Amino acid sequence: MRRVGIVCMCLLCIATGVFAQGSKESTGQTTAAAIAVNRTGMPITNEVTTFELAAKSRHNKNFANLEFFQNLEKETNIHIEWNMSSEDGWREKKGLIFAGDLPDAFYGQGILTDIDVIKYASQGLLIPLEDLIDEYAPNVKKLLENESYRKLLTAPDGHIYALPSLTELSPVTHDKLFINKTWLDKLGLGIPTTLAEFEAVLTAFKNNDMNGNGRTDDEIPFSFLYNRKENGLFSLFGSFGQLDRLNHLIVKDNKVIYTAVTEPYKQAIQYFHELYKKGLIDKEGFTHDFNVYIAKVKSPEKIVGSFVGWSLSSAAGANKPDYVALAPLKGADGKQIWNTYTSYINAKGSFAITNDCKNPEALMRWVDLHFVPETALQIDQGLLGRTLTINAEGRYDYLPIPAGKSFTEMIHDYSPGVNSLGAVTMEIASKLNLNANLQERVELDAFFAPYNVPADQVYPEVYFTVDEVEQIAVLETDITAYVAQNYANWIVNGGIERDWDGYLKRLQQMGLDRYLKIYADAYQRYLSL
Amino acid sequence: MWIRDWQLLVLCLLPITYYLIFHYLPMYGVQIAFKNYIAARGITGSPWVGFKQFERFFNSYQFWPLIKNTLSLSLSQLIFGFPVPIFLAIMLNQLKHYKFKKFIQTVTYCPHFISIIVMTGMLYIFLSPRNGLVNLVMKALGNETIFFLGDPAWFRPIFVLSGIWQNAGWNAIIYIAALAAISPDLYEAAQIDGANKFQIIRHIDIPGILPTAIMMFILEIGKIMNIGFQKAYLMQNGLNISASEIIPTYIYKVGLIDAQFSYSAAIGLFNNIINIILLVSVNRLAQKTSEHSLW
Amino acid sequence: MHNPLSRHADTIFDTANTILLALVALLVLYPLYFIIIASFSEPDAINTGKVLLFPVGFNTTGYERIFSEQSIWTAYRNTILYTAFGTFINIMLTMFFAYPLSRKEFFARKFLTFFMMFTMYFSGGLIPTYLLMRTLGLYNTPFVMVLLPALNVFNVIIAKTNIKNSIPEELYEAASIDGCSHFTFFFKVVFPLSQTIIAVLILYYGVAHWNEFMNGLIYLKDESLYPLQLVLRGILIQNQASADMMGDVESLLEQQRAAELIKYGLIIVSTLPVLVVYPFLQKYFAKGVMMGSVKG
Repeated sequence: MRRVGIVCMCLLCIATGVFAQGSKESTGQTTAAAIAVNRTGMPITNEVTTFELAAKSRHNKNFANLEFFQNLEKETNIHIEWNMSSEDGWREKKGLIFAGDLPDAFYGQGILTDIDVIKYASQGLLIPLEDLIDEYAPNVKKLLENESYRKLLTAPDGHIYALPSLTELSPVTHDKLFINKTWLDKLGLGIPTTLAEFEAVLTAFKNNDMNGNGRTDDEIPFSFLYNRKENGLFSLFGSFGQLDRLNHLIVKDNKVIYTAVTEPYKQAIQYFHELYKKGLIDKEGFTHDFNVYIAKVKSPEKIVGSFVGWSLSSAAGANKPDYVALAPLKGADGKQIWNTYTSYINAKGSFAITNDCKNPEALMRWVDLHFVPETALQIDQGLLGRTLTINAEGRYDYLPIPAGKSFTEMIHDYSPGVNSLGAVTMEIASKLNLNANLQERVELDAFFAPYNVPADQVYPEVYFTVDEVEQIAVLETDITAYVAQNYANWIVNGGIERDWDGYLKRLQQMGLDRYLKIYADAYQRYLSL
Repeated sequence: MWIRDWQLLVLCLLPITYYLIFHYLPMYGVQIAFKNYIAARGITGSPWVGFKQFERFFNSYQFWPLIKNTLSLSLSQLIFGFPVPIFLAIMLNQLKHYKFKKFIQTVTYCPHFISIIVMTGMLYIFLSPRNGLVNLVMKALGNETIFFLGDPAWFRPIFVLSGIWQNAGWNAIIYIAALAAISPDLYEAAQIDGANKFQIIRHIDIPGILPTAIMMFILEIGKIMNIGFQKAYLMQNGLNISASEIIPTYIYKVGLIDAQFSYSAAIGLFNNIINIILLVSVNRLAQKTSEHSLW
Repeated sequence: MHNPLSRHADTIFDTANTILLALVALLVLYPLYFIIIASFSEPDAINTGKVLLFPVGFNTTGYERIFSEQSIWTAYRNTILYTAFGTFINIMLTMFFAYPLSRKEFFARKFLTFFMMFTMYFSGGLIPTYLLMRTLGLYNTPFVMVLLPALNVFNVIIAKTNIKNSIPEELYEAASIDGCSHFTFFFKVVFPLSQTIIAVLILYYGVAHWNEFMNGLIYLKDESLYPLQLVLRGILIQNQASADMMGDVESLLEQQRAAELIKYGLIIVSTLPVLVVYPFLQKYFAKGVMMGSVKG
């Protein structure tokens, strides 16, 4: 009886396999074929043309209701059927969209990851854009005249398949070191300039009752969050001669280096272990999550002596006046270096046209409008008349925010904001009268500018091929986990001297060489594009 | 017999149809584990690669540690978590005060509804070495604070204990239902014989609950490789990763870099094969030692 | 005759039992209470362990944000409907399947059990199911929420086992002597006597529907059809996915802060209705449901 059952089961499966087509369904879009496109001027097409775009919104807004798109439609005659998703579950949905019903295009910052772009382009589901850009997208074309942008956006096969979301308002420095000046003044200490002075200051913070509550055990001399680029120890490692980065990859003299197997990295870890042993750094640096971390810095009880963060406004809140930026600490060689983030691109895969699209020319013109400098600014910082206004000198000012709303809400109630794409270049950004947040970015950038390493020491965000990614995926997961585990363990428990050789050998066994070779080849290819 | 049985078959028709349509019809998708899925060609059109996806997994450096972590986590959950709902149900059953019983029952099943995100969030808050409640209590009792979240050795206990806390009350429901089905005649007879509560539990409650317990146990074994990814992922950090990296978190991380349906499908299939083997073995064992089994 | 020793043992047992259960209740109650007070507190205070017995920085911002989301009331309505209809279908189908499977003499019993359990381990996966829903026209309809999860193997098995163990064979023999068919026995005897297991099924299936969001995420497009959990999760931006901060850092930070604010309130909002229902089902877990059935 059992066996009969099994046989029946198998027959059933085979039968359904034969039965079900399993092939992609591609229902036709509602676009008409080959509508005449006006090469310049508005509207883009003389009759209303409809396109279906897949998009996601972190703010759960349906784009159909946003003023920005309604205005755009009136101007261009292009009507968009939005297939909206939330950030949640987009990964799963994305795969299904590619398996089933393709839209005309994918829209929005990071809508497709780099590997998505390469993978689906190689399957012919995404079309090359460079010719369309040449003919129909003058603003994008201008953007691509910038060599580094062009190189970053070009796939290994030489085509451009996706448009980016970028903003030159992005700072060059992402992680900044801050120290509590109020506490220093209280102790009569100067700003530390060397590693030794830093340790002395931290010791003083620890041993004294800095926040005046009668207890000496609740101050945290130094805090951080180990796995975020804005809050980790990466730039601090520079005091030992070489910077570290979240992915441990840097470039020196055109060679790709994995920092986690180098001597400076080892010394840096030893230093921080010493600090940890003396109770000078936050025990929870490896375990607390971002919200807890920020809560500590912002705490009304003022418990943090120094920390690594993006900016004081975002991290310190009401405690902002207590802190100042701290220049890189000098190590044995006296050099002061700091991490540079050269890419203004937030996400490379922010717009891609599928092979289902019957009228890519019109769509390209439509998306090109996002790259008109003034439009890009409005997408990013809010619409004119809502968040922004032009003053008499032709510069942009921020309008006051109505009560009960936040700055972000004011942007995203009318504009797609961070869920969209565009390029806010310096050309337009320089006309903006910066608000407090942006102003602080500029100031902090200026502070760290003397220390930022040159751009060619940073590993760029290149495109990899499908084969390369397949290999990287497994190698990177294994290697990263192992490196992270040891990193944390050595700083907390010590033992790096004892474990170092075994660690190096293990990484070799895990395939570190293969991993680095892929990155090195990709870098060379990038240079030659 | 056949004539009578047709009625049973008719009752089964709707359920059978459901399974055929919603589960068997899409089942051709199982092939995806043996293919290199290319979206443009669909599942049937994608090229066969045999066991390549499986090999990728088996050859991964972390394969054995992953299996070890996943299985030991799962087994710990089973060994420590399985008896608790049973005890809870038996104890509740013996409570005389109806309102108190109802209250405890409701309270214990509430944690089941807390989302995993909030659950792990609370764990972090209560177990914090700085000012977490648990460590404050320990300090008050004169003990050293323990860095729970930073110690791989504590990962499993915290995972399992918090799981028990969250689900014991909910899982007890089926046992409470089983106890409710025990004929009151048995209880009356026992009281007449002068049995005390311990004896009643031993001779009436436990045998009454046994078939359900055996069935639940077999089913749990049949799910042993299916640990949810979210909780372990949220509890994972640089210090405890040697214990907290399990198969689902690993798949997720690989998938973040290169989302391949085939790869995750292959590993899912691998998990399920292990599940089936265990299921059939334990079921056979149950059949031999007791009368109760799944089929 | 009551043995005085056994009475003594009983008192010990009862006291120990009560104390133990009270402790358990306390252990469970505190974190639940914590969630309630946290939902009214400042996130920073919560995260630094300041919230212990009372809310710190009392505010109702979290709840205001949740309820200011217009779609939430539609979502509540949707979930209630999905749960009501879905659970009804669930119970019917499960009992229809469980009863025959519980009959030892049923010729197809083993085969069908196998047939059903096979689906637990071998599944086509997301892509074929998704394509099937589209082919069948169930995509973006309320039916997909109610039909797709129509049967749960686990629940069928526990129903089957419960029927087998709680309906004594004598009942069936007595009925069949009277010429009772399977149909009649099932509807007139088994169903009514299975109150307890049906209560359990209502709970299990009902809660599953109430918490359902994945199906909604994949198979529904219109916001007007979204279930509650989907909307709630949409309001709550998951912290785990923000390892790479793209774009405006400050706005992301603000969002994370908003998420912290409503995290706890969300649980209360989504769970309260379920907690209210449970006590009504509890009476079916009382002893003696079977009383009198064999004798009668």
